[in-house]
Amino acid sequence: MVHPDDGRRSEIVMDAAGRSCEVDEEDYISGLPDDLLHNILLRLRSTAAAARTSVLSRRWLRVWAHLPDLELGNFRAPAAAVDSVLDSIDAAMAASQAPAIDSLCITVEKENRTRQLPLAAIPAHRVIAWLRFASRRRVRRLNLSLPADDDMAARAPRRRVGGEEKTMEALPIDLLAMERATSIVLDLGHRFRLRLMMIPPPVAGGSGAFTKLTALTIIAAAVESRELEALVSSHCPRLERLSIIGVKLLGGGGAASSFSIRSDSLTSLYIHLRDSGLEEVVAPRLEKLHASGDTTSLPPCWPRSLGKTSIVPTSAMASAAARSRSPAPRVVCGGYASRHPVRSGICCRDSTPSTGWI
Amino acid sequence: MASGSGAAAAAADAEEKESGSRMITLTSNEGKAFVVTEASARQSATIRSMVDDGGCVDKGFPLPNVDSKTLARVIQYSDEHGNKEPHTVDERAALAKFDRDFIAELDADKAFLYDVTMAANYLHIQGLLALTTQCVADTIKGKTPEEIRTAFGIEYDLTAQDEKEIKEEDTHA
Repeated sequence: MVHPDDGRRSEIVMDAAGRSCEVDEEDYISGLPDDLLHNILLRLRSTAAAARTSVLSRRWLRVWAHLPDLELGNFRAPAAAVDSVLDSIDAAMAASQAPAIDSLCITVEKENRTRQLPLAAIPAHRVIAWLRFASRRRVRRLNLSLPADDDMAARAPRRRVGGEEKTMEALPIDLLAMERATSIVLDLGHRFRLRLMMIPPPVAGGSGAFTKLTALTIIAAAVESRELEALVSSHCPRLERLSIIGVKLLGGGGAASSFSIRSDSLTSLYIHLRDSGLEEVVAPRLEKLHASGDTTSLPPCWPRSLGKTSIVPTSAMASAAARSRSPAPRVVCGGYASRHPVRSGICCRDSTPSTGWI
Repeated sequence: MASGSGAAAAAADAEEKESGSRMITLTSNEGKAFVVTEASARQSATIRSMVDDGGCVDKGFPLPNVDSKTLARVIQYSDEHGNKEPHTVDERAALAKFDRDFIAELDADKAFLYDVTMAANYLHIQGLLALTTQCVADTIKGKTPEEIRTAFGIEYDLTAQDEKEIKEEDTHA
């Protein structure tokens, strides 16, 4: 822990054999091994408070920087101005020296709940850097939550960003591969288009996929439907729980689109789409299913025993399907075709269960 | 908990063979033997794995990293959590109160808190470790660096160069 060039205190014995003479006899904390000090710092439940321990003494200079869990942003102090919150996130990432991070939680909240936070308040390049950090540090659990851009949520078509008219779709950020990740939650606050291009992580030996991912949640973002289909079907072999909430699916040229899900591992699927349709679900192990659409009027959903029908199109989905002249959504899952019964499912208002699908 | 010699351990073993509940001897680094129930000893994942491996139950377990005073206190915790299984609300409340009183005493004696933390870590007694590390964290919480140094006896030894680096990191932030 201690720098070798420090002659006065060249080493600190941190094994369970007890305090070493390197730490002051009367010091009743610094001789604890690093993993216990990390345990203690995590119990502060504040990365900022943990970082402040670096000024205690030389022993403590780098203790917090090796913390395996980072909780950044203003989740617990929503009063801070957004710019300073973004700066503090960047600074903590710059200072962190943990080569592999178990849990990375980034939360940006509005400084004032009644005030709007326009698109430009959170520049894409900063979020891109955070996701790059998550990939590079081989994060296991990632949770990124950005405050909603209210105009975008209310579907105002365009927003002014830095003198230029922009849309959420025009602000892309990339989800890079995280081969250690088991759980990813991304709430982009209707601010960005999430690109799922599978760019390999900038570390040697990265397999360039999400081979361990079991739970993926994408909230309030725009996503190209082809990229989402490719991610789920080809790059997440262990994905069990998929939630796509308030997501706008884009087809070619940024038009609204519909998409299909094919996964051999999926057991739970929750979909709520904006302006977009669901074409087909092929998931033989599916046990739980919710599908609904549109944001202007949230349909009250209710669980329904899925005798023969697993999914019913909402009016939005049906109309999207009609627009694209594609057939109504088709669901192939275990309920009627295999030994894995669909235990619960959700249908939506304004639609009668249809038995027309397989 | 009971303390005594090898004779006590032998007697305990005999008793175990009749009743089916084994007794286990733990020996501190000062050579003092403590005879505890297996349920109490199993609070320690370290001892649990040695017992399950069919290890030296008869010979007892020497604990060269733990002194008698600390071991006695650790056993106090393990007895309370190992020998009783709280079923009712009242029993659970009593156990929670035990934990509160237990940690309050340690909180008042940071040197002892340190020793018990190290022992809980060495013996892998997760509940006890959670209790002591939370106590340390609660002491750090809301304090200035100087107050933290005072609370734990940390000597301030940062050089001017260290301080400069910290300041630079801060200005980046």
